[in-house]
Amino acid sequence: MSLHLQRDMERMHREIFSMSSIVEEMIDKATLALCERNDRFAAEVIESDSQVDQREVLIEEECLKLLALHQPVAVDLRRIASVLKINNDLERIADLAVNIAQRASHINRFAEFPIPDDVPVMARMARRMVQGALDAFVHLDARGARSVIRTDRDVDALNVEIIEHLTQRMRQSPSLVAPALHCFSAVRHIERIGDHATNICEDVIYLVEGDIVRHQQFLEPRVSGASHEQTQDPHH
Amino acid sequence: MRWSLRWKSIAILVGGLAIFTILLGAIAAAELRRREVERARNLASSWSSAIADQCAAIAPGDALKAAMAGATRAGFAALPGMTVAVVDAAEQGEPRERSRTARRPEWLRVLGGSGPVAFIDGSRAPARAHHITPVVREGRVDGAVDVAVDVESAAPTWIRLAAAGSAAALGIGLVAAWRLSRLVGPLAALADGAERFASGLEFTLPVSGRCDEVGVLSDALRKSHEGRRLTTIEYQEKTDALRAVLRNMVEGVLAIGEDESVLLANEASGRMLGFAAGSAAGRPLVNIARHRPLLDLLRRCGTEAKPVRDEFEMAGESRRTLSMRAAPLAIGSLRGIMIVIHDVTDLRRLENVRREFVANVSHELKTPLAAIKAYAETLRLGALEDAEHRGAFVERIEEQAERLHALISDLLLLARVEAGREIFEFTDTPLRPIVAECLAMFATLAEHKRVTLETDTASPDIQVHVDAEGLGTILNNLVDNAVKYTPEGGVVRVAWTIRDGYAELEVLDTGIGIPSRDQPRIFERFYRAEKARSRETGGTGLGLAIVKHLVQAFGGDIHLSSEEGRGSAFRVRLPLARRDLTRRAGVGSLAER
Repeated sequence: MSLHLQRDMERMHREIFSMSSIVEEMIDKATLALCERNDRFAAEVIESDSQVDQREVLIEEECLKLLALHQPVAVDLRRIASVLKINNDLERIADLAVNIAQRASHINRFAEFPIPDDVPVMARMARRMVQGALDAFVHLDARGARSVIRTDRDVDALNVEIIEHLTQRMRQSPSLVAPALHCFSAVRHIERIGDHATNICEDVIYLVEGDIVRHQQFLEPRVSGASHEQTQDPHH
Repeated sequence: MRWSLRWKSIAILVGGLAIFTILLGAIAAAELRRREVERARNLASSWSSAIADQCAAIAPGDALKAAMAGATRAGFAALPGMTVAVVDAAEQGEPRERSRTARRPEWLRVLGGSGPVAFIDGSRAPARAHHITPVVREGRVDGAVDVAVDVESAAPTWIRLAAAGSAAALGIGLVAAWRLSRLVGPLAALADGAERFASGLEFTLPVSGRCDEVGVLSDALRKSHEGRRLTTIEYQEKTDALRAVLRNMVEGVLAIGEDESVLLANEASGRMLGFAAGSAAGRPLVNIARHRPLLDLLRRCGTEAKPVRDEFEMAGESRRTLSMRAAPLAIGSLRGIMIVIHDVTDLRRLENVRREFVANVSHELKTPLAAIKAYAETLRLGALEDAEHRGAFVERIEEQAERLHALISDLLLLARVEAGREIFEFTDTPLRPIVAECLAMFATLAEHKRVTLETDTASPDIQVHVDAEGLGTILNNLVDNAVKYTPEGGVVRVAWTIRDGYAELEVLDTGIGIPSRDQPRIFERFYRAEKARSRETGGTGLGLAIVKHLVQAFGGDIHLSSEEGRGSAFRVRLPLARRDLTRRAGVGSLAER
């Protein structure tokens, strides 16, 4: 790898991690805005979004520049491709956080509407998934990425449970339909955040193993055993 | 492989000696040959002239050869390696008939009258020195005498010399090698030692005390090594000390390089920011701690090039409040940023508690005062004349004053308890009478509410080492709460036992219980699970706070387990009196009976 490429790659990494720090904070604040009914946090999240948008464009340009200038191959190419996709996912997660914050400020007008107990749990799980996905990216840890992907099922299960609970409550007290609907979409957004975390994890697996695992039923390597992983990619 | 000094010097020595010997041998051989030739020449010349003289004496006309033959055979040819030939000029007829010797050109020259001729005949081995002397009779050359002497070969001598020389060279070489190895040996050991020293391995040096260069070098190396060892130890100790200080710091310390990679991170910083401090060094900060305020602070400090400060609440589950100070760092050529992190969570929480407390106290004090003021005003504005109602107003005023009094007494008590242990009089206090006294006090109230008040008669007779009055306050507050929050038909039960060297006093009720979300805060001042209800029941909101502080002042602790709708259990652990310390749970009660 040429020195220039290496330096540019390092800068690209710094940028994407800076962006992820903002996005992670946005998820936290959006979650707090929702679960603790804090309007200040909601406003902060909405404010941060433009920063994330700018950074997304910046990182994408950086990646394209790297591709055009250095024409990287093998692991460098996969890395840049992964950053491009993760960049996209992070931006979408930021948007979802903004949506959650908006829902939260709506819900906060209905003091009598209690947020279901499972919502903070689910939000925490989604947050941990994003964190786990980015940690897996930092450490090039395909195993970590796989375990994050597996937790997505739990988030989906909770999503179903909470939505059922909300539907029931709407049936019981029609006056709470409006906040319940807001809550409903907030929960859907949390679930989407989990999905994006899964996407990031799939990119990490691709980066590490050179194997596209998207849309695969079984996330384990096709033939169990480390030797297979090694033969699949001579570059690591 | 290294050409060691020893072998080099031996090779040079032996080679030199060999060349010298060969040269010497060659010179000696040449000299020997020269002498031999000289000797043969002289011999040939003297014999030749002697024989020629003899021949000259022979009467002319006699055949020279015949005359000489006998004489020669008899006297002159006795020497080994010498041949004598006599040629008669008369025989010089047809050249074809001449003997082989006589055909030689030297002969012809001599017979031709040139005088004696000497030459070396090297055409055969051994070479011979010839001397041909003319025989002059009656003025004319009548014949010639040729004496040839073998020139002895010098080769055997030469070989002997060379062999002796080589042996000598070898011998000298061996001796030199032995001497050299004594000289060079320590040098080689020194070189080995120096090599190991340079690569930081253990090494040994040749014994010091030699006064030559090897000794000096060896001593210098030893001193240098000792110096380095001491420096290393000193350095190691300093590093260890610094590391220990950093490790045990409560504050997080992070040193970040210019390229935003971690130069140093202590354990506390890892704990606060959620990364493994051990493996952090050398990695980019964004890789290990993705906290936006931290990164923002870092960049702000980088651009402003002056210390900056920030405080933020950590995202995530722990919700710690961290106060951070970043300052530019310059150590020698190293540029970077140093970040010190304080965990101010507890500080901020305490500040909050205090603020809330002041607000609560003001509120709690104002409420009864406002009521008293209102009733007094009503009375002044005419109710005083109203004989029917004024009694009730005065009663209300008394009631509110009573509440104010209770509140102030509680506040004072709390302040006293918080002040410390000095105000208490610690004595060994029997538990049973105090519990009985307390239950008796609440008997009327309990009866009124139809709540059964009972004590566990199986509980052992033990003494606790506390302030008796304080223990009374603890019990009163707990039982008061239990009775208050237990609906009709419920049970309040006081029991105690010995557990783990402490007296464990338990106040159980079958009341409404405390919701789990309120349980952590129930011991805070003025905290009420259900605000409206508890004020209705006449509490000051300080009871449990007082209980907790008293128990802590006594050196015990208090735990709550409660389930909403099922009841609560407060477990107070108190230090045992010395005489009960040795008893174990259960045993005491059996022994008493």
